[in-house]
Formats: sequence, structure tokens, C-alpha cells
Amino acid sequence: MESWIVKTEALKKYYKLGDNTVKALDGVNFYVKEGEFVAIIGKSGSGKSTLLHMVGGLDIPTAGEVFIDGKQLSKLRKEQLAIFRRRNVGFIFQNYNLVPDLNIYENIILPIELDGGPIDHVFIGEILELLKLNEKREALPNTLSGGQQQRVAIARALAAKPAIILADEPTGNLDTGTSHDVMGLLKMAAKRYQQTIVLITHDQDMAQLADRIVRIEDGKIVKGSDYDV
Amino acid sequence: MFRNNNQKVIHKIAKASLLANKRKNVMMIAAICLSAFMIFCIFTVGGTWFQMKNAQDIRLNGGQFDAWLYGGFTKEQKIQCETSKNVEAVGAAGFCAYGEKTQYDDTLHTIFKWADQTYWNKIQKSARTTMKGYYPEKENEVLVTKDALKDCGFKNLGIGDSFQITYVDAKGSHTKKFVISGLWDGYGEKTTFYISKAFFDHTGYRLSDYGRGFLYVKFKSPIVTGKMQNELRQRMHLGEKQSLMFTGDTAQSVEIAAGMAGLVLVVCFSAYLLIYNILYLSVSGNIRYYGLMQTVGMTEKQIYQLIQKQMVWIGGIGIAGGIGFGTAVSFFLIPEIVKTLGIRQADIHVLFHPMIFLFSIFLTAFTIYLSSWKPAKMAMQISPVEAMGYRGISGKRKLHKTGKGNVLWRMAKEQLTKDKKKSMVVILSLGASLSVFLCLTTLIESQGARTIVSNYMDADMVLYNDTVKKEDLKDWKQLFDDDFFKTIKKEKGIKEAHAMLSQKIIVPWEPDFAEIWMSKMYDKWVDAPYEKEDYQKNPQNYFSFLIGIDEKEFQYLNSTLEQPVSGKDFKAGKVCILYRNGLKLKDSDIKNKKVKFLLDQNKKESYKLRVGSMTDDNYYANMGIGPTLIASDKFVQNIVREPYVSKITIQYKEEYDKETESVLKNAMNQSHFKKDFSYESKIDEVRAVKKAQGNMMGIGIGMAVLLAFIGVMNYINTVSGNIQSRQTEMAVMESVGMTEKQVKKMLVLEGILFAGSSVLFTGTIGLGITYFLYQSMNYRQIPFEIPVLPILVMILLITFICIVIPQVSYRMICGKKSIVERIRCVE
Repeated sequence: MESWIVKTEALKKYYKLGDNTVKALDGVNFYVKEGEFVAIIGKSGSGKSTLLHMVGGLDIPTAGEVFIDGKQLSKLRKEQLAIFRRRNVGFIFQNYNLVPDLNIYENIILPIELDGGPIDHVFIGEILELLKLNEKREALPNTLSGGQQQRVAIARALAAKPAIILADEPTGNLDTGTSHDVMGLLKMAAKRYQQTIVLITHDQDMAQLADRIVRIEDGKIVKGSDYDV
Repeated sequence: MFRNNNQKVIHKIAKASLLANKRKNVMMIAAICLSAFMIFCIFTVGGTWFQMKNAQDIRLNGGQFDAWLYGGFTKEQKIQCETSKNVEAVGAAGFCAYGEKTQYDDTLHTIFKWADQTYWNKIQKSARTTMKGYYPEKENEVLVTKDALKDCGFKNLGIGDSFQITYVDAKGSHTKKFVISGLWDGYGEKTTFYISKAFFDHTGYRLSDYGRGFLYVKFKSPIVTGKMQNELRQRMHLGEKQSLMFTGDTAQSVEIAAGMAGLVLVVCFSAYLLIYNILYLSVSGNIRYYGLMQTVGMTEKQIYQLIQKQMVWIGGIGIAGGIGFGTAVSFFLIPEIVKTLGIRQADIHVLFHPMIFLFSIFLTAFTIYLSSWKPAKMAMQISPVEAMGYRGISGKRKLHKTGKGNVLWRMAKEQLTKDKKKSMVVILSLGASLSVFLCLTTLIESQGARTIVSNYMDADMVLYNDTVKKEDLKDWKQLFDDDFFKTIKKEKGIKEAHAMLSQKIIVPWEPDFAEIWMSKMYDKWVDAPYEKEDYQKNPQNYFSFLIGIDEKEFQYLNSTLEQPVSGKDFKAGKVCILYRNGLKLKDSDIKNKKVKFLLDQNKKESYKLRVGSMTDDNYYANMGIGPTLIASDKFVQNIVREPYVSKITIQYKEEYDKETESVLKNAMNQSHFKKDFSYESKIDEVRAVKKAQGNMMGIGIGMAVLLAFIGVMNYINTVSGNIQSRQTEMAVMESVGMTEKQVKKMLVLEGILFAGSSVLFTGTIGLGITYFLYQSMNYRQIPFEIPVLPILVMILLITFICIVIPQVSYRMICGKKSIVERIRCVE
């Protein structure tokens, strides 16, 4: 049997919007293999970000289950979920979402510090080198360009050596050149550290970099879903 | 150029925006309402407090005056006083006789006093609560109080009734029948018979006589500067024995005014911070909205007008609400609370002044203007693109050293240092209110009845044998006999009792000590020239007292002396302590000189005591013109067979123990010599001071609590605003794995840092200001002492609030939303 690192079963997420119910996710079965690079594409409002949030344990599904590395997320308490997240999942957001009061280095090591574990300075140095952030160690996020900030976000996602990296439109705010650089770096880093990547994008070019593309429409996976089912 | 009429659209947008942001605007209205309320309350309650303090001083002084002249006065001096441009009123009074005996009592304390119309109708009037009848006109008429009648043993006498009394004036002892013309009650010296000018003129005394005539001066202005005081002093050309004294409040009026102004400033500043904080947060939160307005073509001026318009509406509602609420609280709630505390409603006069209304409105409006100016400028100057991405982050710093230590501590510290100005505002506001609380509680504590009343050796009760005040030894009685002492010994509530022995002595003339004493005594206290020959011939006319005290009392007295004496020598009867009686005696005048004295009842034998030191404590003051010597009781008992006990100083095991006090009072009442006792009770004095103070304390505490409330409100709105603006940041941290526990711990640490900084501010700057204010108002010379318990409670409370508020805000703002929802707030 295949080893699924990410697996969702009949995942549903419904929102109330006035009198209407929005079905952001409507019974999604989604699977990712260990070490795989999966791109999720779809139109704005199709539910791709919602799926990513559910997988990362940032939001609670209306129905269905999420398993990460065999762990059923709904069985974890809020506290356990946060700890699970910082040890196993690295997030990269479209808006970078760096902590403005912390410098670049502090931002990168934040998940490790929160976990109270020892910081592998050599490893962090390696990431900084890889992402060309060495000279910006003590700069504050608001002094960096978008591309630089996104590289910091990637570094942060890699720092705790998580098994999975979830990237929500990481190049959405970047120009084409920078977008390619960032994606190249992300792929290279993931490969080096044997990490699984789930990438959300609406850019077909970017999606092409992935091992597999999953298309989502109106809360349902329409292509590349039933991998082996 | 034509004016472009765009006011209508501005008006429309302002209205729409107000209605759309209902919750935010309600918050803002509430903040303005609270500030207006506080400013109004502080002025009303503070004004009431000062009014009551004034009433207290009038009651304690027995009249409304700023200065009084002691030592007699001349007509010219009175005229000089009256014609001074600063003086409003000058009252004159004269003491002309004292009561000696009536058919019921022969140890009286009542004095005869004449007062002129100004004194009676202006100066003393405010200390009177009731007045029936009229001021005496005929020579045999007298105006009395119930207390004075009681002192003389008269009961149930009223206006029109007459009584007979023996009194002593300059010409000697007389017995006369008086008719009561009036009856008054109130505050001040009440064992006084006010008599007519005709009676005064018959007593043989003149107003210019030393110790007889008094002038009471009231200034026009409530603030009497040192210059004004000196001017009056110079105009009056004071004689050597005259002294012009200013009441505590008057002497320090400039300092008190400065202290008050300081207090008002702190209050205004706190209110300003409250409004500023909330407006700043609100406008900066709306920056994107103003940016949007700019993109659709609104000019800077129009944005300013828009903000201004909204502020006028919000401010108007807030101010009206605040002042209405303040009125309700000041005029209805406070009197109700005070009434439930058991204070008569007649004692509560809440100050109402239209100026307070106007000033509160003006101050709040001005604060709104000031605090909206900066955010408005910010809204005007920001470019539309910047506005769209505005996230309320101050981005002046570029670099930041990587910190060491616990990440949560570091982040908490970061919050404090990130926006130093904002943190300063919060710390300053909390610190200011904590400081004002410290200042007010310290002042209130020092004004507490129990602090004002402090007796010699901290006695709870001092019992007097009034018969030893009589000149003739035959009239002396041993009131405190064995039976009485047995009662005292039996009473379990008494901790210790000290008997003072008194023996009338005669110090014959000699050049070394007696001569120096007597000449200085005449210089200071006697209105006649010193006749050395008469003293040499008739030393018995220049009698004085030998006082015997026990060992414990000696130890206490010795500890108060600048130059203590040897306990061994004192006990052995070799050395004595001299009561200085206010004379200008140098050490060399008395030190180690031997005083020779004779006992009044046995003039053949003489004794000698070396003078070891001097005391100024008027607890040892006695009659007689000669020197009062304080020796050990053993010594006195050795040379006198049965010395008289003149007073007993008693300390209870428990201070203010009413049961023990009533046992003592019963013992005096059951004695044969019932009428010859008198006493001073700390409980009674505290009661009198409390009565004089009215509900001053309650109002003062209310004011301190109100101020603390301002500080806490400032903290609440800053912190909730802070968390509101940081919710995305916190959600981001949670997304990368910060647990809820860690978020809460970080907030607790932030709270502790804020509370700690505020306490540090209070402990340094606040304490310094408090000490300065305290000393500038401390005319009673009460030692500076911090009321530890209320301050400790306040610090704990502030820390608790500082810790709890961020938690509550976090729960309210972030509680129900998922991490995604919170991150999306800015996306």
C-alpha cells in the first residue's frame, strides 16, 4: 500500500453567508505521497485555499477527516494541534505573514523557539545561504522587498525541518522573474531536505513545476484526485 | 473664485460612516463620555473636598480667619490692619476674666470673653451652628453655650434665666449674677462666656494688655502670599511681646494652590490620554477607508473636514452624556452613598458652580481637538496606495539585534519597546493614576482624625486633678487616692498608667540661675517690669512646681531630649529636667547649674537639684512664674510625705478601647470628688475631629478611586486596541505553531512588564511628587508616611488588571475566529 503523508476523507467545509450556505469544500478526497510535489489549481473562490487550511489544521472542517502522516487531526486538541503544526507543517502565505517585530533570523527560528528545542544554527545558516538571506539576518521584514520577504517565509517553513510544506500562492505578490526564483528555491530546498510540498496557485506555469496537478472547482476535485482509488 | 459647495456630500459621508461603524463609534463616545465625566467629577468632588477642608479648618480654628495677633493690640494697629488693601475684615476680642467657682463646682474651666461686632458677625459666624437670643449689651448679660454652663455645674438654664458665679479679673475675685441673653452652639472653644463691652471695661483690663486683646484678620484673597503676610506684619509695627500668627492654610496657601494645580493637571493629562488613545486607534484603524476616499477623489481638506465633522458629533454626544452622568453621580449618587455611610445629610454640600460645567466642556472639547489632530493629519498625508496597505506598524527601525533568552519574554519586551511613545503613554497613564492614588491616600491618611490627634506618650486618656491648679495649698485634694489606683490596676484593658506628682515649691533668688530665669520669664510672658527686690524679699509670690515622674515616663521624656541626662543620676535625685516654657534659654544659662528650692508647706528645709537638660513639651507646663522642675517620683516621695497626683496618663492595651474608657469615666463619676476631675480622651478628640471633617475622607477616597479608574480605562483601551491591531500577527504566530497557552503567557508577561513599569514610575517620580506635595501642604508637621496597605492593594489590583485585560481582550477579539479568519483580516 502507498504511504500517504496527506489524506482527506469526504472533507466538507460549509460557510453561512447571509441566508446562503457556501460550500467551500464539498466532500474532498485528497491524497499526497511522501516527497511528492503537488500543485492545486483552481479559480478564485474554488476552495483551494480552504483545502490547504484544513490540511494544515488552521481551520476546522464541517465534516470529514484529515490525516497527516497517519495522525487524525480531529482527534487532536487545540494545544496539541499547534504543537503538531510547528513540528510537522511549514506554511508559506501569499502575504508572507512575517512577524513585523522580529528580525529575519528571529522570524525564521520562531517555530523552533516556540517548540523549545535546540536551534541547529548550521542548518539555519545553510538555509540562509541557499535563500541568499545571509546579509539580511538582522533586518526587519518591512525593510525587505516582496521577493526577499517570501524567501524569509520559505526559510521559516523549512527551519523546523517539517515533513510537509504548505504554500498558499507564494508567488502571488511577486513579479515573474522573482516568482521563478522563489519557486526554484522552494523546489530545490524541498528536494534537499526530502520534504513534501502542496502548492496552491492559479498560475499554470508555476503548476507545471509540480509532480502532479490537482484541479479544484466549486469545492470539488475535478482532476488528479482519485490517485489510486 | 466660486466656492464649491461640497459640504453636503461631506455631511452625507460623515453620517454614513458614523452609522456604518456603530460599534467603533459607540466605543469612542464612551471614551469621551468617560473623560468628560471624570473631569467633571474631579472638579466637583475635588471642589467639594476643598470646601469641606475649609469647613474643617473653620471648625477646628473656631472661626474663619487667616491670621491672629497675640499679645494685645493698640487702636493704631487695628486701624493699620483695617486699612490694608489686602484685608477684608478685622475682628477684635478680649479675654478679661475666668470663672472661679459656682455653687455647684469650684474647679471651672470657663473664661469670659468679649468680641466686637466684626468678630461675632463675620469671623466667628461660620463656626456657629445655632444661635438663639442676642449678643450681650448690658453689663450683667452673658451669651453662653451648653458646655460652658455644664462646666459650671448648671443644668437646664435657658435664655432669660440667671445664675451666680465667682470670677477673677484684674481687680480680684467677684461674685456676680448674670442673665443669659443668648445661647449658641458650634465649633471652637465652647467653655466661654461672651460678655458685653461694658463688662469688659469694668474688669480692669485693656485690649492692649498682654494676653488680653486679640485681633483676628481675614484676607480678601484665598491665597495669601508671603509678601502679603510680610506687608501686614510691617504695617502693624509689632511690639516685642506681640506675635502675628497665620493659620496653617494661610501660611502655606501658595504651596497648597500649586499642589492643587498639579493635581488638576494630572487629571486633565489622564483624560487627554484616554481620549487620545482611543481616537488615535480609531482613526489609524480607518486609514484604509480614508485612502479609499482619496482614490475616489476626496481632497486632504475634505478628509480633514470629514474627520472634524464626525468628531463634532461624537464629541457632542460624549460630552453631553459625560456631564449628565457626572451630574447624576455628584449630586445624587455621592450624597446617597455618604448618607448610607451614616453621615447626616446636612453635612453634605456638593459644590455646584457653572464654571465647572463650562470648564469641563471646554477641556474635553479641547482634548478631542488635540487628540484628533494628529490622526487626522496622518489620514490626510497618507497616499492612497500606502493607505491600502496600511497595517498600523511603525516602521522606523530597520535593524534589530537578534535577542537572547526565552522567546516569549523577548516578544513581550518587544511590545513594550516597539512603540516607545505608545508604551510611555500607557505607563504614564497608569503610573500617573497610581501616583495620584499614592499621593491622595498619603494626604488623606495624614489628614485622618487619628493622625491629627496624637497625644503625649500616645496616651489614650489623661486624667487631671483640677484642684492642684488652685493657688492655696489648702484647697488641694488627693483625687487619685488608693481606691482610684486600685480601680486602674484592676482594669484589664489598661496597658500602663503613669502618675505625675506635683509639689508647689519656691525657688529663692540667687544670681546664677533664678535671676536669669526670672528676667527672661518677665521678658517673655509678663506685662509688668521685673522687680528683683520684690522677688528677693517675697519669693513665695514667685512659686512654681516640682514634678515627679516614674521611670518609664522618664525614659520616654529623656529620649525626646536633645541632650539626655543620666538615668542613674535622675533616679538618685541628683539631676532634674527643666521645663523651658518658651524662654530663650541657652545651654550655658542652665546646664549643670544647681537650683535651690523650698517646699511651700515647709520653708525651713531647702533642697538642691542640678539642671541636666531642658524640655519644650507643654505637657509639663504648670502655673506659677518660677521654674518647673521635673525630677524622679522617688525623689519627690522622699522629700514630701504625701505628694499630690496632678495627672495620670493612661495607655490602653487596645487603642481607642471604648470599654476601658467607660470604666475610667465611671470611676471618676463615682468618686466623691466627681466635679474636680477633668480629662482629655483621645476617643473624644478623634470624634471631634471626625465631626469637624464631615465626609472629607470619603470624598477624597472617591477621587483617588476615580483617578485610578482613568488609568485602568486607558490601559484597557490601549491594550484592546493593541491586540486588535496585532490579531493578524498573533494568528501568524499561531499558524507557525504558537500554542494558545504560549500566546496567553506572552500576554501575561506583557501585562507584568506594563504593571512593573508603572509601579517603578510611581515608586520613583510619583513618590517624589507625592513627597513634595505632602511637604508643601504639611503645615501640621505630620511625619511623612506611606499608607502601605492601600498602596499594596492598589499595586496588586493594577497588576491583576494588567494581566487579565489582555487575556480578556484576546478572548473577545480572537476567541471565536479561526486562525484563517484572523489572518484574512488583512488579506
